[in-house]
Amino acid sequence: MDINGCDAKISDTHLPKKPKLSPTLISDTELESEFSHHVQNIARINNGSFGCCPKSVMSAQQKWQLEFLKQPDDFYFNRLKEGILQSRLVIKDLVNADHVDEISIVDNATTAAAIVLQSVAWDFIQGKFNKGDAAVMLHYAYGAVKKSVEAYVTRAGGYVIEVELPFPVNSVSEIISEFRRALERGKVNGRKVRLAVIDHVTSMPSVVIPVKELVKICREEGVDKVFVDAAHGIGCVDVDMKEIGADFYTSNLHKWFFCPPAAAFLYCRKSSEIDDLHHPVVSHEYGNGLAIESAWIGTRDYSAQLVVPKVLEFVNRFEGGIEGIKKRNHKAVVEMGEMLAKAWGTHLGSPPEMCSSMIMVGLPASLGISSDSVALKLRTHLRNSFSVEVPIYYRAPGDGVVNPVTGYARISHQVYNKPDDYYRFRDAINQLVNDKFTCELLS
Amino acid sequence: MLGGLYGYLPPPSDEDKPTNTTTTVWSIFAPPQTILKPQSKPKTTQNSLPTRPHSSPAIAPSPDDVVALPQPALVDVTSTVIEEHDPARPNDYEDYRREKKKKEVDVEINRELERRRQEEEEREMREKGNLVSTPVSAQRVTRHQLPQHPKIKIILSFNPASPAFTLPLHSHSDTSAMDQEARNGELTHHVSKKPKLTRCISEAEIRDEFSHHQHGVARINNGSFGSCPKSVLADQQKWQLKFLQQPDDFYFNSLRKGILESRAAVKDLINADDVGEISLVDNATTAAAIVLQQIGRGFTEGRFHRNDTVLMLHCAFQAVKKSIQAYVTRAGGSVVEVQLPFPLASEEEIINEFKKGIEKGKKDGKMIRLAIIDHITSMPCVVIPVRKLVKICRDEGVDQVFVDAAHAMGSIKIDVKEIGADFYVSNLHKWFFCPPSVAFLYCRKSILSSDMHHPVVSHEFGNGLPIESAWIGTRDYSAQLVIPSAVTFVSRFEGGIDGIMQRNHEQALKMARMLANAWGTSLGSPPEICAAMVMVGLPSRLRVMGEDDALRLRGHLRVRFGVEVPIHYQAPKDDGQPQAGARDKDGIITGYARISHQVYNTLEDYEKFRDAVILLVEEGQLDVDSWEEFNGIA
Repeated sequence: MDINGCDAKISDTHLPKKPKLSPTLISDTELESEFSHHVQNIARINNGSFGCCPKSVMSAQQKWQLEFLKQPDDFYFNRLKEGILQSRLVIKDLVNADHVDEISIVDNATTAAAIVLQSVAWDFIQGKFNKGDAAVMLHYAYGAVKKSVEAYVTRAGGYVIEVELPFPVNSVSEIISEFRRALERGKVNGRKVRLAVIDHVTSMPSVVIPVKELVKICREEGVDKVFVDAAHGIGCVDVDMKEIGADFYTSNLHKWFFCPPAAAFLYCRKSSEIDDLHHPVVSHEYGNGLAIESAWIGTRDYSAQLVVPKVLEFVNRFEGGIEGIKKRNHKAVVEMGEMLAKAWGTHLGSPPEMCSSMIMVGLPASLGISSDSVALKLRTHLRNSFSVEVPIYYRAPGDGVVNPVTGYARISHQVYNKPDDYYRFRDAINQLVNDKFTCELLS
Repeated sequence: MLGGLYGYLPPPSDEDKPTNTTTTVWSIFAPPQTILKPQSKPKTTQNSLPTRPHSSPAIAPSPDDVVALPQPALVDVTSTVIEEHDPARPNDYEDYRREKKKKEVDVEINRELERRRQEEEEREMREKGNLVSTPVSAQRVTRHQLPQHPKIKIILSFNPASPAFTLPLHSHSDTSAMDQEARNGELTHHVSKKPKLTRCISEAEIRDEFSHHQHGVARINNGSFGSCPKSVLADQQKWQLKFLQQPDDFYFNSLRKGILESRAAVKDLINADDVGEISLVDNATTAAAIVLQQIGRGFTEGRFHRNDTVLMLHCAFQAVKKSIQAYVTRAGGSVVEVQLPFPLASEEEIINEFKKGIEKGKKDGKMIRLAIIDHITSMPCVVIPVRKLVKICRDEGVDQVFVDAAHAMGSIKIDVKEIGADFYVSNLHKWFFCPPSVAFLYCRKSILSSDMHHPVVSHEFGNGLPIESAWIGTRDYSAQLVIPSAVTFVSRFEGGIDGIMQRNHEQALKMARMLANAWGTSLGSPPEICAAMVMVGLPSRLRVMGEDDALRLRGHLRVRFGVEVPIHYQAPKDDGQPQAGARDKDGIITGYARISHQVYNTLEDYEKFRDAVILLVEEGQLDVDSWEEFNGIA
């Protein structure tokens, strides 16, 4: 924390590539101390939106920041490249990529989307794709990605098809059949489907998408490029590049992998097309491959990208490393989700096997959640009046449904969470219901 | 709310204001709106919702500005998109601020009018007492008469194109003060525009502020990466921690406000008209991508002809050249490079070469779509007469002018109105004491600006570049949030940033002359075209014979002597003759050091460099090949 006291060598951030489990596992006290900077007495059950970063990683980051400030020329010439390479190597192993060249580090999934979609735009502009050729994406794709598709693909002449997905969802097959239908629609009139954007874990509502199956379908149907947006991927679901088989796959590292804001990786399968991927911010490294281009986009703070080895060290202090964390989070969030649904007399938004470390829980209908903005108001109200940090999703009711559930909370579970966090949320909602509160009162 | 295919994203403080999404566009780029204060309009209702545009006629958008939400044409499904963490919208905050400030101004006006009315009454009383008739020009002014008075117009507009607020009543000493206050804009109260000179920073305090710099290194290269004092770093860490403490709360309730305050600080520093002209981005490289992407679209979408040109200086920063290649050349545009001589004898040389470049660019009826002009070139380092070159561009019908002033802020005076370019970017982490990294991109209010987009597209797409740039996904925005802190830091120096600039310029020159004298060489350009960086000729006996040698020498100076300074290789003319004046007693000067001066530098830094070079020359055997090798950047 002290910008003075960071004279220590930073060599400890260069870690062995293979996860090594420390002999001693992290204790409860240590765990608490690692997240003691979180505002106290807040039920933070929304790891999904912004993630979290433990203190040991933060201090490693500050060492890197100081390294730069100390002697920037030296840092630039002698440390930065090597440091980023180390991070990329760690990621390569974690996601089972073939080669470190397939891994670039960027700020976040939003940046990765811009890189991929810009290359698709060039394909349209330069006539490799015909105007009117289709891009398919999920209806529940992240808003920023949808905007990016609009800015790059639609503007360059692409035709965008959204795959409607049911929610609440009951089975994987519902998603698969909707996806197939969208591809068929994409191929109407001899059009070609040039791009599929598939979320690995949708954000809102949160559902785990059967990416492996959908990628396979894309291959069978001759889709040119498949981009998996796994903003919530690493640390949250299984991320194996070879198994998933997409052309591009991005995941944030600051959401579920304990990196500080912001770092994400973009995997680009080795193929001839990789040469045509460029970071939108162009430096003197232009043309040296996306990984190198991304590693220098002008003077800036690269520290978040440099602490990946330190993060690996952190997660390996837990039983089973990141895999163990993931499994326990999933188990706990399902348990808490079921507890809440039971207490409120509602249901979950998806079966447990279709959720990761986040799950959608129906809110009592009597709350009267009647629009997106009302859902947002409820979220603010929960923060301000009950110290509960949780995002709320509005779902328009189907025709003729009596007393429908129109609001779902997306709860997350991360290592710092305790059952009390969820009990507080449960009690807050119960109190609102008992008080005959409706969201109309919030306007 | 259904229908917004790409997601209608209500603000956190959303108060049922359907036109909200579009008012932001208006608030930033709409044409000037001057609305007469309605007769007998009472004070703006204090409890009116801050973001409801029609609560105040004075800033209500005209119907034309309230356009429908754009509906993408090529999508099948319409339905809702909800995002987990996006509804916050910085623009709402701006609306809110505008509204709030407007109310304050309203109150101020009413108070002023009341005061004047009383004065008038008093005077009338006096005059009656003295039996002197009231002159016509001194008619009594009351609030009720205001609107009808032919000469009285209260313009209440926060639009940059018009003076923010004028009260052209009969002359009154307070009017101009009020006027001035209002002209400074609605947000100036965040940052003291004039440096407060309570007690200047002491030598010891300066040393402490930069005590994290590597000891024992003569850091005379502020130009490449800048520097950041401890007090600003501490503020940055506070911001970083604030995010990590409760990110949702930070996102919804702190971030937008913080960025707006930073933008407002920049606006005042560079004399922009409106805070809507200021976007914060990572660095000049990012800004170049934004500008050039826009130009590239002009080519790919057929608004420009193939081979229409982009004009740039030969010594433009490498990243900018590559950006042109990536966005302009690839899209079918052609590039004309203006060759500048070095060493330079006078500004005239630059202007003449530039004019030649323009002629070349316009040959065969081609149009020059963009001119990119460095304010201070990086390597070799020279201050370019931007104002004159921009004017030439205007006279010659160049479409757009982009000034790349990566080194400018804090090293040279910036007045964007005087310079008159369409786009102007400067890093703030180089010479304005911000941490890495933050830069501002000024976009002159014009129709063109509406097609400026950040290449990283978030849910803010289409809300104007400043808003788009303020959220490009979850990341660390702390460097953008500490600008007020940097302003505070510079205000601790005598004369504020102007004083710092002046002294750095003088010291850099003085040190450069000292070095040139000691080495028997010369400066790369006349003193008046240097800022806080000066090119000093290196002894010809060092035999810097190429870029590689220059890089090796730089590394050697770092490793062996603890001197951080970039070296420039200047090739002789094609005919093998030296550039004018580039000769010392032993031969042609082909190597130049770019020395910087910043507040932390001392005489010893330069003496160390001087002695290192003298030692190298004395050693005679310059074993260039054994010097450390590396790749380079300036």
